[in-house]
Amino acid sequence: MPDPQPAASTSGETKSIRLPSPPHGFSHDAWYAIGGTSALADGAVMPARLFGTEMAVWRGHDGICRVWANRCIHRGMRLQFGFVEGDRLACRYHGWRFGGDGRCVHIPSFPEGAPPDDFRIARFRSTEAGGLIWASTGTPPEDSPLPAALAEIGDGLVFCRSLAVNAAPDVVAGLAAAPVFPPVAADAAGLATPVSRDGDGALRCAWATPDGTLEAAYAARRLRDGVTVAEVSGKAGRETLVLLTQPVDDRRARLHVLAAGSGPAAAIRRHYAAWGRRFRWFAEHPGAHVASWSPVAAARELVQ
Amino acid sequence: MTRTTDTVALDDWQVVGPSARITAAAPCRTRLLGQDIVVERAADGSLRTVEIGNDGVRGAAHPARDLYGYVWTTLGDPPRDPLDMPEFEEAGRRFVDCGKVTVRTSPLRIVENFLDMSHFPYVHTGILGEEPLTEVSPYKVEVREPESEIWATDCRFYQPQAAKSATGGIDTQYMYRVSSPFVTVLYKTCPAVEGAWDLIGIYVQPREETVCDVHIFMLLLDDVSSDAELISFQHEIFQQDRSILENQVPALMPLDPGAEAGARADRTSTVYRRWLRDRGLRFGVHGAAA
Repeated sequence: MPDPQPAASTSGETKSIRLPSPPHGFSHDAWYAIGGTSALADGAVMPARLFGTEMAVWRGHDGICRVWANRCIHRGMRLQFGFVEGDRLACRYHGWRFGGDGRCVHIPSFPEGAPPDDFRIARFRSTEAGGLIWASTGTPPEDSPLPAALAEIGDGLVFCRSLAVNAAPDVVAGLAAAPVFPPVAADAAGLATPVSRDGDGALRCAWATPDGTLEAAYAARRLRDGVTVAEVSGKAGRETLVLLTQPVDDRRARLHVLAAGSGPAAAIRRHYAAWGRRFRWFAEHPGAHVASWSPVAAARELVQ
Repeated sequence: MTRTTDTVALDDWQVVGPSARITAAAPCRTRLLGQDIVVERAADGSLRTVEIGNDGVRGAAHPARDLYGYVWTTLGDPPRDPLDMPEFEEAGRRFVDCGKVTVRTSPLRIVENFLDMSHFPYVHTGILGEEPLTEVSPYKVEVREPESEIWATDCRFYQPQAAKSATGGIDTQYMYRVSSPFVTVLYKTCPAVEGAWDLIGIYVQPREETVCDVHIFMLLLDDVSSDAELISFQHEIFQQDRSILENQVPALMPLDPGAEAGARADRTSTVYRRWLRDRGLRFGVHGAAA
């Protein structure tokens, strides 16, 4: 399996980043959401991981977000622990400063010297759109990470939350396309029944209460690597749910949840944030019966 | 657990603990270079090391000895004795056992961090260095024969608080010495006695390739600070280093000169890596099966 190289690289760095084969349904040459824009303030640095590749994500005081290899070229120190100075990132170990293009611009132990041109951190393609930070370990064909379907929803899309899921990325993406539990109030009971699959590939699920009254329906379409858009209809009317699966590594994923609907943004955020927690529980307990979930049981597991 | 096959690492002396703690009643069970061992002291004070197999059965025996306050042992056949430190014979010298710290990385990364000054303003901010005084002026590095030890001399750095007893910033002078791949001692300006050196050393005991116990000692001319104050000062410094050491990737150290970028201040590290390559060390080295 050929290893794609990071988009902009240095001679020194490229050969040291080996990309593993991606899980089924994911490819290196695609955009993945790695966090909400609001999660990274000016001057902040945070780690991220795609396909097991460690990244340092930072925002300069120029407001621009960059995604770099999480390793300083000097002594291999993780750059996620660095600090931001203006529009430069400094490594925590020896204070080497790197400019926006990844080039080393200052070595404190030798301030009069000019760092060589090839002293450069490997960078990954990144961008921000739809309230999210996106990155790629390869070269995505599209400039914009937002599929047309999402761009149409526009400003109405509310970022609800990101959550870490201890399950393989393809399991998470699979559950996003056909969740076993209804996206409505936590006390609704019933089993998910996939009702039909449309010509355009949408999977429709419906839930019914024990007395047979239809409570909610979920029509999901998997757009591409890790992106699922669902139309949710229930008592609250119709809402759009966007689920973005971030392939962290072979065994772990993060799920970024966005939603759009007619209600107030705060209510939408609160509802789907709670939904996300249930989603995680089911992703981490494959085959579990929907009736076996309870908030208390899930919380107890976290403590053990 | 798998014992290393690297004879360069095996044919050498390593420290396993302070002499005072290994008594007839209290043998030391530990692991060295991937091999479980027990280090025992007999009633007459003599020492030996016995290998413990994966099944718990006692195996081959190896020599062990007291030197400079610690018990040293070997799983192979060292060509020479451990280092010589005549300062231990000097009057007025105070030996401090600063205990040990477990660090999850290669022993080579630990030694290289100890030899480096350019991290002082960033990792030990306000203590061993601070911005803007970050420049490391050129210093000398040589390999001294016949012991084949690395010595870096004429090192100096401005330090806001060079030692526990320091009352203000001073230009500290340093010498660094590497006597074997996992043993290094620094000599620094003694605040109390002009012209004399205080010694601080680390004996890295590699339990496995990326798990080490670092035994820290000091030999000082200080009669002001208590043991507790000196030990806590060293531990504060070492905890700061550990946060870095456990975040270096890869943990195993690459010795290929092109693998990691160096600056003028990294001369000791460059010489150390070349010296390790010349010896053929594989243990703790990136890309070398050990």
